[in-house]
Amino acid sequence: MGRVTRRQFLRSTGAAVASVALGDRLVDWAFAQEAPVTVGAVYPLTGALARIGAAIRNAIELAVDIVNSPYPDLNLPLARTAGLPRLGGRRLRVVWGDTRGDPATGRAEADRLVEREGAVALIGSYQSAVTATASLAAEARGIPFLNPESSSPRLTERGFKWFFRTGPHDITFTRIMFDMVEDLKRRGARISRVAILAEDSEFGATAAGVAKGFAQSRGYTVTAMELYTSPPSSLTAELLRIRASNPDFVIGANYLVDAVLITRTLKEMRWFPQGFMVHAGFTTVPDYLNAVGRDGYYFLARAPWALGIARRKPLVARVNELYRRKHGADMDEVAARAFTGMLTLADAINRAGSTAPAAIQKALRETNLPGAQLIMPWQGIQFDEKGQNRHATGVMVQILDGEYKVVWPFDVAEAELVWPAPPWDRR
Amino acid sequence: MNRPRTLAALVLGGLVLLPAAVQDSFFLNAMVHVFLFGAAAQAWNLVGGYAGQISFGHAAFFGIGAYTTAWLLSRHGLSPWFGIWVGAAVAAAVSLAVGYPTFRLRRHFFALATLALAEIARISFLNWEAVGAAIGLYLPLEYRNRLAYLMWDSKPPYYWTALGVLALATGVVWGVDRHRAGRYLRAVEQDEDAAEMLGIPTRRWKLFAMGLSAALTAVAGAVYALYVLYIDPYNVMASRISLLVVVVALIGGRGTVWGPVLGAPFVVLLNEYTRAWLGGRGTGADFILFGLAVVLVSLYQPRGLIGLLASPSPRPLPAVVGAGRDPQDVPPAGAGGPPVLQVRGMEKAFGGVRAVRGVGLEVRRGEVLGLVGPNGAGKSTLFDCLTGFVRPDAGQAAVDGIHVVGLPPHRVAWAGLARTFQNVRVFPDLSVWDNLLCGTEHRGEGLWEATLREVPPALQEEAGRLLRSFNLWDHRHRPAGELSYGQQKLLSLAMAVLRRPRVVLLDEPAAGVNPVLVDEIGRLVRALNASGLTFVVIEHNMEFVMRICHRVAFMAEGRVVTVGRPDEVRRDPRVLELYYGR
Amino acid sequence: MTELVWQAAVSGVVLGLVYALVALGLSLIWGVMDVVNLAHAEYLMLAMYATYWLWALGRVDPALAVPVVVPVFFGLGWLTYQALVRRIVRAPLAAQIFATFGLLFVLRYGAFAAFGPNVYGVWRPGEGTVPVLGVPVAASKVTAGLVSLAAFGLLAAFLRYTKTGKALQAAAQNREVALALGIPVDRMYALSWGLGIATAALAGVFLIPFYQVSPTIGDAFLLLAFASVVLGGFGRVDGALVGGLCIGLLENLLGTLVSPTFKFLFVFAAFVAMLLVRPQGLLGDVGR
Repeated sequence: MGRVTRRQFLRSTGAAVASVALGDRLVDWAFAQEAPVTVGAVYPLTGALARIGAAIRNAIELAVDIVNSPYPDLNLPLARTAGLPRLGGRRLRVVWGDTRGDPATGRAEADRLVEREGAVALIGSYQSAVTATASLAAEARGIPFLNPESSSPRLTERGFKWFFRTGPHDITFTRIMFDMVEDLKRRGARISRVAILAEDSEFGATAAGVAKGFAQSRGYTVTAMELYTSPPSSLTAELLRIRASNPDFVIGANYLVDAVLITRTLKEMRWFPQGFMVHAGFTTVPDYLNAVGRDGYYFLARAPWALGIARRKPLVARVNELYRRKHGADMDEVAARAFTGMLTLADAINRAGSTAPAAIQKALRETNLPGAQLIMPWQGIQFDEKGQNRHATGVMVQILDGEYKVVWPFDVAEAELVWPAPPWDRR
Repeated sequence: MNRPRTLAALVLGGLVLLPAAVQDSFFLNAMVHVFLFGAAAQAWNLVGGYAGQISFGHAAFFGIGAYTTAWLLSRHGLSPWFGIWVGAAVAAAVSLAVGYPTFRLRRHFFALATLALAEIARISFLNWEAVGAAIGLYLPLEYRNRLAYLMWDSKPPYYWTALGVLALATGVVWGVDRHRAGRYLRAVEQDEDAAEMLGIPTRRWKLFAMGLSAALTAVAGAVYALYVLYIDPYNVMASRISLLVVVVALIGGRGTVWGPVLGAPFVVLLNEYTRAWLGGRGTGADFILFGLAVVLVSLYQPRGLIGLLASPSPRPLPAVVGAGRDPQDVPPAGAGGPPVLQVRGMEKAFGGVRAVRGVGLEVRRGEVLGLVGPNGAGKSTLFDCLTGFVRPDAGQAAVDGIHVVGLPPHRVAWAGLARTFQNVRVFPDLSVWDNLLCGTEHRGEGLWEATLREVPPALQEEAGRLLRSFNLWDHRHRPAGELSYGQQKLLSLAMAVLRRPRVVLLDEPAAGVNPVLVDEIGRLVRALNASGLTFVVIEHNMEFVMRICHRVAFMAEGRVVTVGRPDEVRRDPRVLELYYGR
Repeated sequence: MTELVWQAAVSGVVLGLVYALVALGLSLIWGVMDVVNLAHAEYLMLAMYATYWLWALGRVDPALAVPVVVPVFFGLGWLTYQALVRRIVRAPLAAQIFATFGLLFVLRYGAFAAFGPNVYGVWRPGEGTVPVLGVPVAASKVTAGLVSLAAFGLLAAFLRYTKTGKALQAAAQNREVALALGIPVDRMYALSWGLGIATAALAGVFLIPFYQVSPTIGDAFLLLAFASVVLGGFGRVDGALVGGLCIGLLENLLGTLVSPTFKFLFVFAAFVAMLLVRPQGLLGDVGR
């Protein structure tokens, strides 16, 4: 056995250690230099929904940045590391397809992203009708499709094997509304009659049908259910009928164009139900309050998310701060859902340890993200056999003093729910 | 002459092979849209281009096709190969039910009615639970990738199917354009009354065009449903589909075979790619451009892009041999035949004005009967009553024993009555030759026969001879609107006599033409009379009347005052008093 | 129940007056030169934008915007006639239909490019309601209804009592005869376009306090305006008034009593039925 001086020993082991370390880094480096993992995002980037598309794009890009760069102090999936650790730190890349809000184009763009851009999974597509067709492309090719925000319950009833939805759908949303009413009744309110006012495309008609079903199964009387075509030239007949049916509260599924007319017609009739709660968006768009001012107060909306939950969940404030610094505006609920969807998908790809679609699909099925790692007010993310996140739920917000405040569930509320809404002459 | 055909074959071949070379999904998707909306525009072209009935409601037919196919497949598992044709039949039936009453409407009203009817269809489907109401229909996916069900995961099969639909629609329009049907539809577009009077059953032709158009639109809609795999009223019945179809046909060139084929790639690809280029805000710049194009087309180039590219190629005409018979200047033939047209007790009042009061008249076979009298005597009204344009209050008229009062004009024409109008009425955009061939016998002419076959050669030869004898042969390629007024009068006379009707009613044939042509017209009438035709001529030019008529009837204040030999009538004191003023 | 019917009827009348005001210009142009302006509701939309921006940027109350917006749109109508419509007055029907059809696209998507897909509305804090025959109706709608009546009255008086108005009628009845009488038919046509578009702008100004504006808002009114003109009888100014009232009442009464979902089904069915049974409309003479 030859003599090895201490110095030599030190040098050689040092070199060995160094070379091991260097080797690791080289491996990391090699992986990172390997083509990034590509995810296709299929959204309306132009056309009437371009503004919503832009918010979604911002949110998804923020999520991708959080995956790809280290954010050691954020308790989000994949935030602390750079890239996808189980894939040797490979980075995540998003390629965009523009649906322009059209179902046929949505499907073609999904095809293109898989075919041309090599996307291993897809995320999209906001409108239910487009999600329906874009996810067909994924199902046909055996590519996972993650949908963060479409609300039609039918999407997860199609028996698709590659379709996963993180966000709540109309049934969940409607349950929130009725749960809130149940809570109110426990507090002594007398509520038993509901009317429904919805626009007549897929969005409104689905929501209206679900609301009717819920009301009946929970023993409420549906006093009226009126559908109209948007944009309406008048909603007087609809609202007169609803008022005459004497409901305690009204559930609406309406677009912004209609919302302005609804508000003004209600004011004209000097009538407001105890509560007027709406599906989706109009109350959360600033244009609405610009157009109707104080007349828009006291409307309630279901929301899968609201910035107001930040008071209870510091993580939300942190993410919003990042978003704000990057894009110059607060996150909205669509952005929050897209953000969460993207992180869920990234988490699954990471756990799959592979870019094989089947492995990602399996990992998605096994997803189990705790609520603490989400910016959503959910207990977590776990998919049922249909691909629906069983923990997806939401909150109720109310327009109070020109702001959207979380008012239910009562334990996360940032403001006191006003119920019944005050009559017009006392506002 | 074969150059265009070779070119078309080359383009078609290139299109069929294209997916082998280009596999870009975005492009193939765009092309599927090009073909399907091209096909729908081609279908619209039949009724909106050829027949001139502007429809803003074709989305209804598109939707019916899509829904029928989707419903049969999703609820009953019936193959689209079957469902497509059911959809086409349903759409055609609906279009006939809608068209039958609305085709009475003139000018803007038809277009407005189609707008409203499409809206009614959309609202109905939105609330019709059996077809999914507002939620729409999902096509079942288990049938994918089977030719028997026309649904695939990849784009090229759809590409070829859609191309096939466009080829089908273009083939139908080509067939119509090349044969009698296209000529008649254009005639209907340009002057419905004149077409009726030639015996063309205008309403039947409009309904035929409408039914065919609806059926083809439905086929395009059905394939669209199979392509998208999910339909709801907002996707397949929205007014934007109606408008897109109109814009494609218009910009390409309505009333032409290749217009919609050219318009579809222009409009659809521009639409797809401008948004890809401009991105961002979704400015709708493409629609501004389409709007401008439509305005420009309406102002300057009614034949659209195709009109810019090619002057309308004259269709191949028969090389008719055999010199035309030079009509001899024959004296009036004998006028003693049996009565061929009998009029009894004809009455017509407009408000308080009794324009025709109990007119009785007998026209003998083989004669030329003049009908003279001061303005407002009721002569033209009498013609209108006889030919079905005005419904008389009372009275009878029979052509060889067939009662014609109460019949629509084309039935009157079928009974053997022909007529020219006071203001000449030819079809200005049709060639002289096509104008003349509108004058063939239409009685018993089948719609499909007229769509699939041209006028038989023997009849074409006869038409050629007639055209030569009218000195119009050299002008036969020109649009009739380019002829001089006198030549148009000659042409309308030729159109009226081509089918050798039993009686020809001429309303002021010599008015407004130069003296040389007046002589020519007189000569022609006498020659035609010599060959056996019977005429009734309204005319103010007494010299003309004296020269060509065997007998003259004098009308004043809605009554026939006297009938007799020209010289007798002319000397009749009552005539002198009423006509020339005391 | 009777109270409900009464409310539906009263608000239907007010709504009908609003529809009539929108249809007035359409009816005038249609009657004078037999051209159907498919882009009519787009001018309404543009006027709504103009009024909105005056309010949003200059804090000009919509009622005060009338002296600005209406003359500008009169000029716009005049210009439209000179630049476009003049060339198709005697063109075939198809060219007439397509010219204004193209114009619809240009105006609508022009607005889309300029203002985006957003929805705008004017909010006036003091906006109240006025009781009309015991039924509360938004003050802005009552104003629009009164303006509508005034506009019809003024136009009728203009046509009947002024020389220009008579000349306009002559040009409408017979172009050739009017020309022979030395009436500048071309200028009369331009005038009818100016007036027609100005009334559309008037409607826009008074609609914006109640309605919201977006590039596609014209869709809500265009077919109803056609239906108003056809129901009342085209070729007469008061036809649009009667037609608009009929539609407002039909929509509200059948909508309230039977089903709002089908309210336009009733309206359009009435429209088509009128076309088929009595194309001259409720007021029209058989002769025309």
